[in-house]
Amino acid sequence: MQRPMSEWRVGVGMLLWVGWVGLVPTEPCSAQKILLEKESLYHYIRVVEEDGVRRLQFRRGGVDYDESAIDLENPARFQLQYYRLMMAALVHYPEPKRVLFVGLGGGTLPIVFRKYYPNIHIDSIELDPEVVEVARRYFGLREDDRMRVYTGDGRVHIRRFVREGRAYDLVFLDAFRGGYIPYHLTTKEFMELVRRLVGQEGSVISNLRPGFESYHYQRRTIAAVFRNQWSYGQQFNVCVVANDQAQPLSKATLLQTARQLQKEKAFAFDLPALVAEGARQNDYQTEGPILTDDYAPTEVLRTIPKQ
Amino acid sequence: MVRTLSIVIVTFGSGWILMGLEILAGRMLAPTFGNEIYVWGSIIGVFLAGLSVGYVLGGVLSKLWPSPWGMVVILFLAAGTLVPVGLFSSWIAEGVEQWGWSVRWGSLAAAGILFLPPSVLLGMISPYAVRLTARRMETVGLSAGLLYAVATVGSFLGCILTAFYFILWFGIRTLVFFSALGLVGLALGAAAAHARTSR
Repeated sequence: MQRPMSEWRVGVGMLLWVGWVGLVPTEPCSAQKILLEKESLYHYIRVVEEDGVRRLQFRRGGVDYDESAIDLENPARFQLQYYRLMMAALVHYPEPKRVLFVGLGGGTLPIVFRKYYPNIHIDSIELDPEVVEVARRYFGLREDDRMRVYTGDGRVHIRRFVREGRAYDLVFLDAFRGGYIPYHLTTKEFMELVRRLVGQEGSVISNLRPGFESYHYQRRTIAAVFRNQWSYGQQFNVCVVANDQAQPLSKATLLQTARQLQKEKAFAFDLPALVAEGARQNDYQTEGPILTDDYAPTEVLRTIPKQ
Repeated sequence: MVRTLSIVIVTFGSGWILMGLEILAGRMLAPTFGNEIYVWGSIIGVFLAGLSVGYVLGGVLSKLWPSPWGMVVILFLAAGTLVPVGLFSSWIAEGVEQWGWSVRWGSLAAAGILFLPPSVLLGMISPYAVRLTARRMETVGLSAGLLYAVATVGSFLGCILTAFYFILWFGIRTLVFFSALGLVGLALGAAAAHARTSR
């Protein structure tokens, strides 16, 4: 049997209800629109749009990490700092014919690369089929003979590519799972595989997070496999270009190449400034252990703030 | 008493080593097959399949040969199966990968080759231990329950400590050899305890 509710209680209840309902529409107070929110096999994916910029985010530990962002009107206007840092690779190989991206995300970098180098051959590897679908539907990725996407694990595909004897001028390592790189894409054995794809002249570009102890391990691991490395950027992302060229290029030469490229390609960002600021060679702790398939405590290291 | 205690320790230790090995298995297969959900699915599946076969075999063996020496033999064999895991895991995984199967079936096959033998053998321990400790019909359920709890607490610790600390302190290969040594230690301990009590 129910007791009849007194009138004031009903009144308070109604007030609370109205108040609650009233709160709901004010929640998305910014102009940000959520275009997609989806749980894939690997990630909690969001695609959001604000002021003509779309972002692909992976949620981990309650944080939505920006994995990709694209200015819909002009993708060449980079929306994430690390994109232009990755482009620094070009001063180490100014006319690439074949490039590989490990970690497609929204596909912003391949799309922009194609704009500046219309005949370039671009392969990309992406773990998550849902992410490939996002790149197609929300970021405008179009696949054809010179723009191919391979779905699956980066290391598995790279091993196959090595076996097939493929060669790339530039390999971009940009596989992130919401803030961190899967450990098997950081080890010496992995870098040795990539080394076989780029040969002696090509370069590997790694997008790293400098804030954690793992950063020094990753730099040392790269140094254990490649003769030369240069770093670009400082705060939240550092992109490291590594190669095995017998004669490492001087900073002056790199700057000169940057100016020339800037003139030719008219990049929407300032490549010479980026090279002038960056191209550092020993900006990490060179002494210490490296990461191998046998010993790679990357999950622990990335929780330790950098000394 | 010493005998029962040694059996409890063996059950605890083999549970520990089994789950520690399962965590290491992910690390051993990831370089070849990726850090994908399929790989973890394969590994967990293989360990469970191995355990279920081991439960049957352990039960049968405990009927045919109810002696602590049976347990000692099982532990030595299990230690032996870890030798190829420690020495050739990447070599075996890469060999399987070259068969050209999909990541799912490839990782399942590699996990099976590497980890089915130890998980079958370690699965034999629990039923065997129940047989050796059971005295009377009325307490058989109690001793089975207690032994399963001991084995599972061991598994819990092996799993958590390996994932949280050991992978940071040691290499994968070193940890596999520690596991093999641990099994040999358990075997020797059980043999000593049995030799003492049967004298």
